[in-house]
Amino acid sequence: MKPMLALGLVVAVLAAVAPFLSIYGQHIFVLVALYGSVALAWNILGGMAGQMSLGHALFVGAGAYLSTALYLNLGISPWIGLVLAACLGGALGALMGYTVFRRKLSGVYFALVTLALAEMALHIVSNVSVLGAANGLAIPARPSLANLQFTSKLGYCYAALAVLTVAAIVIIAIHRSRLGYVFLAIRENERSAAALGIDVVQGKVIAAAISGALAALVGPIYANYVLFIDPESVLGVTVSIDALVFSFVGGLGSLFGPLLGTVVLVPLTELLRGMLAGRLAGIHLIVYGVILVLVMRLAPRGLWGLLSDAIARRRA
Amino acid sequence: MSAPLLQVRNVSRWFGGLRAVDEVSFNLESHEIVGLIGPNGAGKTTLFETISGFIRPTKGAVTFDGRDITGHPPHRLARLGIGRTFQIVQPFRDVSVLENVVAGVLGPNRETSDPRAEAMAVLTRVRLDHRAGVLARNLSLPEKKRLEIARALATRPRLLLLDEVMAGLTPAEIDEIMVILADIRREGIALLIVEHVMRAIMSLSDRLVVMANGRKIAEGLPATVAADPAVIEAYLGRRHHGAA
Repeated sequence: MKPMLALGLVVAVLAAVAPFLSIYGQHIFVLVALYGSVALAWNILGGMAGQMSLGHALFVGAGAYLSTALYLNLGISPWIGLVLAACLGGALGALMGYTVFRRKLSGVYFALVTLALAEMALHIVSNVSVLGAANGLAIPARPSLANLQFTSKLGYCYAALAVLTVAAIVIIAIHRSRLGYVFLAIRENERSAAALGIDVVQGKVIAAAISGALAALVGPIYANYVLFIDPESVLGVTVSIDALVFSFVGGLGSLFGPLLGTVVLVPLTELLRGMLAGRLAGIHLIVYGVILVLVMRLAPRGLWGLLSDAIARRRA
Repeated sequence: MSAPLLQVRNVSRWFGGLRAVDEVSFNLESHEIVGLIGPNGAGKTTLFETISGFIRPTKGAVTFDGRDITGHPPHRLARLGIGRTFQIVQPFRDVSVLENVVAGVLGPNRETSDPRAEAMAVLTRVRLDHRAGVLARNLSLPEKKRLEIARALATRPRLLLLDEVMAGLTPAEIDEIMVILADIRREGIALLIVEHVMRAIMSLSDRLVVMANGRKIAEGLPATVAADPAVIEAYLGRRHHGAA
């Protein structure tokens, strides 16, 4: 139970620190926790099972739109929306995985299909009036726990931290179970995996389902934090690319590297945005590009690999 | 009288016009070691891939333990008790030797109380326990071959298909593998071995099946098969009568 204990400790520390942060600090906290959750979810499929997705925005967006539309149109609590979002994300992940992997497509083909599906979803939503079409959906501010809205940013810190914790628990549980070895075997060598009795297609579908469900959990929290969603912000390709970049920079092979990548890159982006005060929009993408190249060149195993090597060297 | 453990009946595999395997039949009893030999291009590997589920036969049937397994996917065969190794070793390179074998223990999805202990026991059987913590990529070739065997053994097979586990090894390393294989057979696991190392396959096998040009050309005791004119011709070519 050691990793679970460590996780509990980290979460407790973060929860204790959050109230003492400035409003801006809490804003960064929420963003890091939410983006970090998406990155961790992405990493289950992309890092642990080795199937690169370019379309995780599909899950985030589906979750955000489902809970928001249910709340606005039918008055259904976002809490129920949250649960339904996870179900929808899991179902979409499984469906996407099944249709692609059953045909023995993987690698770049899988990446392209995920990209295409997310883009299709974006364009469909942009034309459906119930979902606000291209204008998006605004959620009226009615702060209460029942509405998953909070009066202070601190509430959102805890909500985002909760999602992050769920993702971390799932990852640790997978890593310690047979499923962890199934993912490992599939990632490392599919022929060997099959020869060892592992159903490769089934394993990938399960990875996609879990990954999709966790990513979808982020949607409703994000929507209720910003109180506004539109197709670009939750279904746009940027969301998918962010998850991938954070994971690569943090370290693909590791369980929690993607979170480390998020912790470094999200504040950096926000800082840049503040410094440039709205000028040079999109400059953070250039910064991402430069950092990505540097990491690939200097630390192929990501920041996590760099860190664990440094620790190993100090011990030696 | 019980049915043979493995029955290969009139199995053919065509690739376009090429008959890589052509109407091959043979049986393999439990506790038996059968060697599958033949010159390069004889169709051994194709037959091997067909039995292990990686290639579907064009015609014919394969039964295991009285059950029709023709065209079953590899993971299902592994769960039924057919393990295999790969000619070109395919370890999970970036994880430890022990983790490789744990994947083999857990792969077939059966009940186990302590997968790591079970994996360690398997490593001891192939004399690789002292390398348990090493990354698989850092093993030497003979060690990788043994890891390949260990991982297959970890699935608890009743039949183990070995594809050239001795290729590229020195005579001393081959002896080591032969001792390990003899141990495995003593545990009651049947073996089907594709191999080019004649010394090893002659002494290990109870029976040999010889293939050439996709067909079975001989079957029997190693000594008998070795003296068979058809086998000699397949390996050495037709003797030129009356030349000089």
